[in-house]
Amino acid sequence: MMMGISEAVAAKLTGAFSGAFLALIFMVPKSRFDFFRRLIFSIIAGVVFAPVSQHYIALGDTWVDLAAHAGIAALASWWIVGGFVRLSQTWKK
Amino acid sequence: MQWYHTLIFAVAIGGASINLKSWRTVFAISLIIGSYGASVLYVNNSLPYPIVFAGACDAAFAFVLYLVAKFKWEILVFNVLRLMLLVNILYGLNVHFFEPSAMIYYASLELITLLALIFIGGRRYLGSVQGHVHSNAGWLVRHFCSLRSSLEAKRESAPWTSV
Repeated sequence: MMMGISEAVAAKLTGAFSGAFLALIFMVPKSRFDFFRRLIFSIIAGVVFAPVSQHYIALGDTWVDLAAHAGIAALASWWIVGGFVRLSQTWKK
Repeated sequence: MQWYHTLIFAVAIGGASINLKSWRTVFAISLIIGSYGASVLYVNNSLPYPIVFAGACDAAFAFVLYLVAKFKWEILVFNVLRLMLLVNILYGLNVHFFEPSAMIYYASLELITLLALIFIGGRRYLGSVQGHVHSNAGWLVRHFCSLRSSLEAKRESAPWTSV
């Protein structure tokens, strides 16, 4: 199913915010700064990497499926950002 | 309304009525039963995307509980809500690939809800059991009774609320 650009962006943003909220429940950040850092990265990654997620996990092409892909990308990026921060902190020590 | 719905609501009302003096217990019970009731109503009305709705309910109620939680047992209830959310996510993703049984999905959510309600409602009785346990009681009984003091301990403050 073909979607307009505005529809696709709306789906991705909805999915990215939902994914970030889910990630917040499962991986609670340590500080407010950490929260904002992860939130910004996960929303950007959710919008940008939704098609990549669509490529690897073929859920479908509907509006909801695109939102789900953006959510998966946002969730993954929330986790990855936390991992990178922890890695850099270990490296500094 | 099925018999298991009645059972869950009865356990919730019973748990709330014997814990009326502790508003935190009543609040936790109302969060769990609110999430469950909203999901059941949504599914029974055959509205679209029931798994997404059930997951969103669990996530929202878990978030509220995490914000107001003061004791460790509340964090345990928060983890139960997270478990329910995980069941929703796994089922929602697997629906596309493996066609898992919907009955197992519903049964697992209802079982988790029931166990959580029994735990929250019966938590205060751990203390009364502790008072009657003989000092020579088995290690399992003593360990079980020491649960209460550890559950009533205060939690660490929400980490992400600090700058």
